Amino acid sequence: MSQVIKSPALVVHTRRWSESSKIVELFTPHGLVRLIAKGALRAKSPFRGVLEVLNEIEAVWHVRETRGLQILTQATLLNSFQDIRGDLEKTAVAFAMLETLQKLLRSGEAFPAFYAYLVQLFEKLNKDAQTPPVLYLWHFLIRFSDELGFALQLERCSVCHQVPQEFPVWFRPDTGAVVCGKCASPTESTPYVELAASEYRLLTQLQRMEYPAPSVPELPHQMHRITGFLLKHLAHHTDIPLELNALKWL
Amino acid sequence: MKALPEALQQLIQAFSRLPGIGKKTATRLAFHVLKMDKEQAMELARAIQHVKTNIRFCSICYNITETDPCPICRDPLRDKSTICVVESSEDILLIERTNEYKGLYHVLGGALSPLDGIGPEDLRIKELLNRLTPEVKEVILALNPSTEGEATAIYLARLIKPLNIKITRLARGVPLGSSLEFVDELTLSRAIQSRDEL
Ligand SMILES: [Zn+2]
Ligand SMILES: [Zn+2]
Repeated sequence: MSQVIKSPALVVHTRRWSESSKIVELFTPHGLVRLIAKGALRAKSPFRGVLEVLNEIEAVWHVRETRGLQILTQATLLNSFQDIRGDLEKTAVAFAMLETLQKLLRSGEAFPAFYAYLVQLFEKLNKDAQTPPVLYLWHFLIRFSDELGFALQLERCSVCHQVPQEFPVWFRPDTGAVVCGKCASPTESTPYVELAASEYRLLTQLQRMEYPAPSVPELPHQMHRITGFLLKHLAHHTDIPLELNALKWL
Repeated sequence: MKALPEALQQLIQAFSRLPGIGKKTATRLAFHVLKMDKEQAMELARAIQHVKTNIRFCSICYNITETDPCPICRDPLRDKSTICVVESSEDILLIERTNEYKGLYHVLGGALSPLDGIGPEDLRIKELLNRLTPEVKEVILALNPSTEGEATAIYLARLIKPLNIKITRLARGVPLGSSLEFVDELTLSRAIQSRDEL
């Protein structure tokens, strides 16, 4: 029995397989899928230029249970996000998102809503000339935590249930909750991560936004600290250490 | 498999480590070697040994060579003001075949690829920057027309720009996807002639 699937997909990773074929890893509404694209490297292959990392494509593949690797039979380019490719920061951020997906998702888990979100995010990042690209990465990491079932609880202090007024606030990666400056003392030996007022406001605002926008308050000085903090939260819940190679370009 | 002599099993295993060769093909190749006349088989063994003992990297451009510096770096007729940056030594071969380019080369040893764990420190980028003396007037980025190749090009362009050296890349005639290896000679030679400034 074989079943044909036709689906939009983001190309996450490709590698050479034999003389002229490629193994492609796709993020689709059906989750992560690994397929073999026969002859993809040949000069006359219809896959040429389509199976490139970052591209959104429409893919057709056949599923046969008895086969380990399924075969990609057709691929058409939907969007190549040219303005992401032309910009080093945007490319690094997009790669970082793909890297996160590849490291944290197991194949077989379906994420239709998250797929739609990510493609929109790429489209916006592609066109956006104002918002610092790293905000897109943070927005993605916040949404991804949410999707995996451990959303950040930033709005109110988990002890007094008030909107924090005193800073810094303290964030616990294990519960995803914040404790305001009034309720926690920095001397406590708990695994809290300190968030300054500017960092806290930025994260809560990003979490409320459907997509990042240039109206976000000014960027904190230590940008890597926020990325590190969001990655730590994800790593804590998935038990997978996350060091994103793409961020080393920045 | 137990039925096969140990030595033959070892040869099958060695062949199956080569790219694109599965167990079946490896077995066929091993039996073929067994049937070859002795002198031919020994020639194959010697060629492999020779490659591994005599071929090294040029200490200037990192091309593979039997002499250091390589013949291209030593050639007084080559234009020392232009460096063409490629991902691998095979790409040099392709560009040399077009007879279109008379400058020097620099082999990066790959392209940036975060999902394969290849970062800037894994490529010969520092070595490239060290070669960019005032004598160098142009750097041609002849990386593969792939997402990783493009990303590497913009990464390098950002590092080289402040040095006031002209940066160019192969013209758009090279189709996106895969590698230079699959681009025909004529297209490649045109792409070198009409390279774009970055
Ligand atoms: Zn409180
Ligand atoms: Zn050399």
